[in-house]
Amino acid sequence: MTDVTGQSQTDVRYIGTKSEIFNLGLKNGLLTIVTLGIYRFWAKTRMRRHIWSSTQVRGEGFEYTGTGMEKFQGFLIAMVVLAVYLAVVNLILFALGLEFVSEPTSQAEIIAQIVLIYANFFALLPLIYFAQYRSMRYKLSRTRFRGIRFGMQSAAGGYVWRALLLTLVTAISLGTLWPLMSFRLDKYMTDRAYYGDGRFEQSGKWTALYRFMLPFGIGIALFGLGSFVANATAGGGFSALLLIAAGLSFYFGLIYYQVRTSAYLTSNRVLDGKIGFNSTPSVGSIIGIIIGGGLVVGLAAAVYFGIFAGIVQGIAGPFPGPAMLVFLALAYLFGLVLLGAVGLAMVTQPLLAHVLGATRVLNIEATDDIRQRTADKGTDAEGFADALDVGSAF
Amino acid sequence: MTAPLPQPCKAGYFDGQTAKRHDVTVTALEGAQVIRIGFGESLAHQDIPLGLLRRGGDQPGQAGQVMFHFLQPGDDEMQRDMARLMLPNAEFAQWLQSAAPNLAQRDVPRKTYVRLIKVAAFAAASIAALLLVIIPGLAAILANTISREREVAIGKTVVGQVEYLLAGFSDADLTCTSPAGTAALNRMISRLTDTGLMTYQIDARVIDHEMLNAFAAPGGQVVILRGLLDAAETPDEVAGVLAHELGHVEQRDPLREAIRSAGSAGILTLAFGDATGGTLTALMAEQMLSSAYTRTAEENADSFGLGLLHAAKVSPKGLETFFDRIAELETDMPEVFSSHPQTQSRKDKAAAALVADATPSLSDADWKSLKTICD
Repeated sequence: MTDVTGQSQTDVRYIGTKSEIFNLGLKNGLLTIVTLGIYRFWAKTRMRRHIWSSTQVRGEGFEYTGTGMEKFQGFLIAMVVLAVYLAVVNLILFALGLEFVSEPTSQAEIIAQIVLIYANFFALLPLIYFAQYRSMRYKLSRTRFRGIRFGMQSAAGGYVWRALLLTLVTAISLGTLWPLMSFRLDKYMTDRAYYGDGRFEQSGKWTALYRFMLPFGIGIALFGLGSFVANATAGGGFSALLLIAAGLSFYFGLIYYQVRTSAYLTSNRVLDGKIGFNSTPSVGSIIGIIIGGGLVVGLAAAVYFGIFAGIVQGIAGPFPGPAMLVFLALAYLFGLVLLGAVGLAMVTQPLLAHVLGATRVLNIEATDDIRQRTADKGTDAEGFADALDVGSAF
Repeated sequence: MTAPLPQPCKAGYFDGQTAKRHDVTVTALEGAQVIRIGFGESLAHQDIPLGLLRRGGDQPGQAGQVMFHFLQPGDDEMQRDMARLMLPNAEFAQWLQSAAPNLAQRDVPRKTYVRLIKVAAFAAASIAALLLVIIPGLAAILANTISREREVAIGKTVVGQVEYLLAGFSDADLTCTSPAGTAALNRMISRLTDTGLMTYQIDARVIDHEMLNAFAAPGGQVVILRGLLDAAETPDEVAGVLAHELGHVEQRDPLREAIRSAGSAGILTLAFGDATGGTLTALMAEQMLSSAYTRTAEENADSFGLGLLHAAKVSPKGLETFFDRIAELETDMPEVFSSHPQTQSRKDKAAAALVADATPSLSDADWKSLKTICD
């Protein structure tokens, strides 16, 4: 970790407004419906353009230069590769599965059958990790700040086998080595990321993440206690209360772990050996935004679909005609788009504003020495992530 | 142009080569259709034609600074290291909005649409090749790796599943078992299999259901639904259907088709599925009832069936009269007729295969017993 004392601190600001992201989300959603889903590549691109350019340091915005067209083409190519892969895997699994159409007769057959059930999922897992790395590489290669590109090395293969290994280790350790996985995978990506000719580096220790798992520990303790009380007293209100508290601890524990882990990793990131970062988001504020925004979305959903149900009952009658069915389907889809846009305005926008606003760049003056890097042509525009539906909202 | 020129203003300039910010002064030049960027430190300046100015879309409103970049001839996204201008001045930005003609233009790299067509054609051709060539080929190879004993076991399970499906998801036993009818059915089967053309042991049965259908399951299981017996007027009609189904059995079509559809389903949904016996047999049961094999498979089954009828000295005309009658009914075509309407070629083949010394495939008494096998 660099010594940050005496270095300049520059705040990151998110200046996008609720109404802007709502309008964009609504427009994107409607165009996606009208084009039977094809517009989603352009929709994602526009949303990124908006969010990137709304994120500013010293009044200078980030820039997203990807295009919907390249994403669409990347998706088409990835679909072909996936189709071939999945067809072959499915065929072989099916032929193997035919060995077990009758009742299994031995322990070994039962195990083989179970393995087959999950084989399909495990056949996709390497592709999912592959898609994650490629997606990050594409996004960085299409991101600029002060006209200078970000970028990432072409190293998805190494990411895939490390991620598979760490997944296995985490599963075998019943989740107790989750921090190791979180840290190593993030470090693998960060250490291969660049801003211009400046390289990022992830410092810090994976064991430092354990303290962020405390709410999980409390959840497990509450769960154990609740189960014990339930057994001892044959159910009852107190044990139910304990189990509800355990569930809440798990849920908010997950948010707590993710927020604090991400803040820790950001604060221990170094660019070009001299530029640091600092991130101090408030977990309480984030949970507040999620609950408050979630309530607004839930209320909007209740109102919209309440009216929707009224129309279905009132006008449509028991046997609606085809025109009515089309109208209802469109009204339903429009409701989903509308609620998505409300979610963007009431949850996503405040979260971005809070998390980005709680981030600072240290010694930003040192970026003056950073030089342009050549464009990354070898990306599939995250076609695999789109085909497998991997990745985030934007 | 009528809008008044804005006052010169301070801006940030990034040359696209380093991340260093240059503080510049931007001036709109009267009548020259350019903006002049003045680099204070060296008194140097650069004039940018208004037509080359671009503004990225979906930027936040006036609250922030607006980023402009300029296009150089021959640029595309892969090569451009264009300079950027950050304009904090709302008045100047507003003026550019009306004065710069191509501000909102999206510059599409050359050959973008050619490439799109190529990619789309490649994708469509690949998927077609996968569905029509690769998957059927692989299915045939995989079907050959499955032993006959296994195939018979699979067939029995599938028939059980079909029965379960037809009984409205209950375990009711729908197999018709009147002794005289069963004996008659077996006599008809024997007549066809005694020709020595079959290598599979045939296990035929009638299921008590009004659907007009018959199908072959893997491993020599042949099922006739009662609806088909009800619609048939002569035993030769049923014998013709049976001979066709025995053709599918001998070619292993049911097994191959089930494997092929599993592969296709996998890619068409691109979704998770499981590979357990339960789902598999349910899928296959569905498949059996709605089955349509490839045209080649149907033609092969036809040829085999005709050969079988010929060897068994049964008239192939029954199948044709049967088809003609069903065609007039308002009902779904059973699989045996699914490759129609190329009936003419089929009729020609049947005519060519006409058997001179044909005898009815069942005696009148046996035919009556078969028709009433479910009573």
